[in-house]
Amino acid sequence: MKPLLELQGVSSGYGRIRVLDKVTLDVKAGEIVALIGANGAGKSTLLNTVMGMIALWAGDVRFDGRSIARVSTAAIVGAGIAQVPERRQLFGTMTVEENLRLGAYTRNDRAGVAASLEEQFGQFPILGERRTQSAQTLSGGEQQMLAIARAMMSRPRLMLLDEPSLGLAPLMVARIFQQITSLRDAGGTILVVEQNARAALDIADRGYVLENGKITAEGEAAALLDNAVVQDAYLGGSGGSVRGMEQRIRARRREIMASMERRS
Amino acid sequence: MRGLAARKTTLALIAFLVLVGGYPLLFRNSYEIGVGITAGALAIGAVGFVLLLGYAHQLAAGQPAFCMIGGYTSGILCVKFGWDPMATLLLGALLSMAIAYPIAAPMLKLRGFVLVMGSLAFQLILVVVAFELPFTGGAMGTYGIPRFAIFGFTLQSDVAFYFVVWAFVLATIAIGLNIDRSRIGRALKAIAISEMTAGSVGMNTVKHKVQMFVVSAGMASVSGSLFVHFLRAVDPTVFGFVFSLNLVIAVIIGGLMSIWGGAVGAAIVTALREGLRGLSLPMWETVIMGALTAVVLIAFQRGFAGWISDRFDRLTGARGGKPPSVTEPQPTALPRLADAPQAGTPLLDVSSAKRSFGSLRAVDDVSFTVEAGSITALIGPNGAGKTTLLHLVGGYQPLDSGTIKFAGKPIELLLPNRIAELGIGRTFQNLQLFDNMTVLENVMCGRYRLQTSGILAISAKLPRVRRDENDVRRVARDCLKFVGLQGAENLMANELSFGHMRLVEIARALALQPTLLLMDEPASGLNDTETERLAELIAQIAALGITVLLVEHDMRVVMGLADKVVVMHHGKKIADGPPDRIRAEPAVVAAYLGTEAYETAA
Repeated sequence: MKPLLELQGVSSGYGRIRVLDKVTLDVKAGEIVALIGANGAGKSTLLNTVMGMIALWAGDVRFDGRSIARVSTAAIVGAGIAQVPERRQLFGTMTVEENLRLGAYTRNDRAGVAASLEEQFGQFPILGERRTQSAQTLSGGEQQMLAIARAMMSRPRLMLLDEPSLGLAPLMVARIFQQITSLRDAGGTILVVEQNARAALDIADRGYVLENGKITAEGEAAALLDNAVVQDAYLGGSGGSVRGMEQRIRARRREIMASMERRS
Repeated sequence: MRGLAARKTTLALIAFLVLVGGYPLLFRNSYEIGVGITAGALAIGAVGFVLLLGYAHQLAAGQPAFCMIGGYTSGILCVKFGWDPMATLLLGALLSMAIAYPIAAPMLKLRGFVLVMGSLAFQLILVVVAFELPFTGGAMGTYGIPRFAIFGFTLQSDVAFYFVVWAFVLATIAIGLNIDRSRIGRALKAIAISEMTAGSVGMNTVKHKVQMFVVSAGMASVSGSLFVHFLRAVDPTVFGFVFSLNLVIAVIIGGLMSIWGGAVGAAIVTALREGLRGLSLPMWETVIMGALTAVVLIAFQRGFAGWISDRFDRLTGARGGKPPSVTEPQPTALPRLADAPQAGTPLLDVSSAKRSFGSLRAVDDVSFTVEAGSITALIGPNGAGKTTLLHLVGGYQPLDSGTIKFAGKPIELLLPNRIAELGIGRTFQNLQLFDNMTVLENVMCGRYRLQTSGILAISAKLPRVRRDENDVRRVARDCLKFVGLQGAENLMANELSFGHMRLVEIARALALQPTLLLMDEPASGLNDTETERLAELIAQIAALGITVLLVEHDMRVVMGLADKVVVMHHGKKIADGPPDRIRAEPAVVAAYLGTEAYETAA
């Protein structure tokens, strides 16, 4: 199948600092693709480069077969890519509904927009209940839902999600990832960037690992979850269960306290 | 960066001396020397304006009013009472500052455009006063002002006066630079980014703005006095619209955040005005000046001086290029807290705390204690009120009712900066770094509460101020070593990756030498490997004797680190106790952990 989004040898960065180094990846229609990597690896930079917010230094970005490397952000959104930025970036003083309507800014069909609005309230009932509340009064999880729903308002063919689990409680993380899965099941295509590598790979079809601006591993999500190198670097080691890391942290704290007592 | 800044200052000083010294050699006639004098007088006002506009971020347009006070004080005392011009200049400056001080606080309560109008109104009042008072000379003004003299020594030549004026410029710049590189300069830059964050390290957000208002009033006054001694007359129109415009344009062209920029801008504006006057097209003069200002605003956002500074950085490769080399954290870089409270005694005691927003009870009758030397974690679903509770402890929001005691003393009525002064540090959920400063300067900001130098000592850069700054720099470096960011000192804070920014924030909080550290979701946005490293760092912080109150969602961190866990739900405390008991508490599992989410992950 032809990929919906293709990056071929993409390099970019800020000022003189090169962040992405010849990155090649693709996202096929109907897939969830997870991009994982350490802080500073260039994950958000990659999304911003796709959106045309950072100039491409080399390589090509193709969407649906056409190059969007030299296209403005507004035109890229118009072509059908929507980004849900890190930290959500909602319009805090505007209501839930106003935020959603702004997501449809590029659309001109009033009836269609109204229909999309109801669709989102169907998908996220809590947003319907809070329709007239200002966005800043929502809890973290609700804000994340609003950010996703706002992106959906432009009826994107591809959604870029930047750290959807950031700052969310465990229960809410599970719920957001469920929502992402149901978006895919409804025919959506999603590229998700996550620190929470396990949660992202759990719902993804495929994944890429970005390290210092380079892709260092790729493959089926399940295979990446089993990959020892990936486990070591991003999943808290091979015994990377919740309890495993917790026990290591506890043991370390005891050691530190003991050595401090010896010192003093 | 200190080396770089010092090198830049030296180069700027050499350029200044060459230009100021060379000008009268090249331009010898009395008109040209006069132009040099007016440029210098304008420069003094402009440097003061930079302190007010660029550093204190106060769009107060009242500068010319203080030029008027200085000008009239000099003029009247010299002409009517035969005072010595230098004495009148100093007296005028004192008078201006004495007037500025009481009006500063109410004036600076106004913001943005309203402040512009308020300060213009002040100026308007003074113009009317100058017209109407019996001893100002009304519309005719006061004339016959003598040549400038310094305590009896009259400057007979214009060239001598020129050098005296530019010596004043140099002194003004020195004061500006001393303020820039001090705790006050850092505080002003911090306040410009976020008053809340500045408060979290103990910075007083009002005091320093008032100080800048007063200092800039003094500088404006000196500028005004020198002007009237050059003109040998003063009337209400001297410091009118055109003068105000020149001052604003000088500051914009020079660079809002550059002390040197004030002088550079004043020189450029004066040269342009005189050059354009030569074309004898009076109307075009203002048009061209306006167009030029617009061009500078768009093309050189940091003004001319900023542009030169950037060029210098680029030529010498001083900045950018390489990401920081992260070092291993050095837990021995910081000493144990000397006056740590007895472990196990309650250090923080929150009792029946309540806070509502409209009908939403964000914090509803919550009581708990944090024992000295412990790590206490505060958990709960999003919207449970954890951050609000942390805000209440930090003084960012008032309590509706209840008490909060720190080391036995009630703190619920204190403002954030007072709470920071007591030794409560904090890090924020959304990173709050000062993007306009380097990493090292950010951490130095944390030291603010332990520095005591006042505005006078700083302006004069007394030896003790210098020593104090060196100490603070050393401690800040130790804090960066402690968190493992030794290589990043000279980068701008916004050049770091997210995870490193978080470490800078922690280092800044440590520089405050806190007894209690409040951390709001320190692991959010970190991957597992980074999270584990962060947990180790928090354990090291606790080992210093610093008590930690942590809001965190990552249960591996919470359960692994905490001695005690407090659980909130819908604003209420639903449980507290040691991690193992909390884990088994059914109410906690239902509200927060989620049977499925937690166990499948486990």
